[in-house]
Amino acid sequence: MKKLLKNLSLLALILLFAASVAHAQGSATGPTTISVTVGPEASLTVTSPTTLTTAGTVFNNYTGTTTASYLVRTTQAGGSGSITLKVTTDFSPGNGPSVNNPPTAGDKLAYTCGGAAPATPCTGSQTASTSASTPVVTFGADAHATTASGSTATTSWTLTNDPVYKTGTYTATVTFTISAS
Amino acid sequence: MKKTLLLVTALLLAASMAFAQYGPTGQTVLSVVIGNEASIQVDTPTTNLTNVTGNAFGNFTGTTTFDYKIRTASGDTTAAITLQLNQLLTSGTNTIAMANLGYTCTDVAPASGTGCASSVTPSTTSGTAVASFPGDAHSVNTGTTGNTLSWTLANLPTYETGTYTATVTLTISAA
Repeated sequence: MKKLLKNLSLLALILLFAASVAHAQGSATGPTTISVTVGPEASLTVTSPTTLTTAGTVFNNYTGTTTASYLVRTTQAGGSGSITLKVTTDFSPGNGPSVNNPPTAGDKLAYTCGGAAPATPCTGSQTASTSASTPVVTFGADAHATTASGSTATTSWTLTNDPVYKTGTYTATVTFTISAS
Repeated sequence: MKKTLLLVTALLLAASMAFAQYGPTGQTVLSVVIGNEASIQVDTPTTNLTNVTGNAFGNFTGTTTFDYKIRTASGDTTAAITLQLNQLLTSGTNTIAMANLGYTCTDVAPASGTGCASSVTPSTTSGTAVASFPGDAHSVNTGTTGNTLSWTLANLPTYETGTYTATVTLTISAA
């Protein structure tokens, strides 16, 4: 019995010592600060290919639509952003439509823009270019994509249907770029 | 514990792959098929046939002008313009026999009017030749102008007096 009591006391001392070491600060809790800087960000994905078609066979212009899905976050105060596009590869093969060097002056690849908040679509018809980026949508301060899966912006294309084009299939590449600050 | 960690890792990987296509840029390939097309515009809504004043029983003549746009594939020679009347020249219950009416055509390239270089009698039941096109035919973007149909109607004393009309429909096809 004496030995048991002695052992129990020793055990209690050991446990108390272990507890005191585990809580060397002397309290039941210990805080830490987690810090994260959420900055402006933007990314997008674009439907491809975009097929341009004409109604009938009486030289109605070719039309089609590209949809861009985007994620965006701009700075609360003073932030901004945009989506622009540029024809990075002109139509090929030759003897058909061309953005940079159309067979008839006035032939063009034009587009109008669509999209709901937080985007502000470009206004009016825009003419696509191989040498400069042209607007699709802009974002203001404190802009956020409406869902985690992204918001959408549309580009509705119109390509001149010039009888001078030789028959065949022609393709061009358009690159969309998103930015946010 | 091990299974939970494995599940969490798998979910994180799946999530990262779902957004793998998002980036600072995205591309689309614009694709267009340019095919045969043709359209026509008649510039003379009413073609009045008249005879020369003082020339009794001289033929009635008149001119219809039209423009066209055309694009045909290389080797495709079936594109054409034809015309057809909806009825004989009619005034009330009186008609003029079709054999008394004829036309010739002057077509601007790439159209060829060899099919109506000599007088053609039109028809109410089938199209008659106005122009044909070679393969790889292209008009300018604004259309090829200056094409004409020259009408001649025999001026027979047997006609009853009155104003006779018929509608002529020109049809272009790029096949």
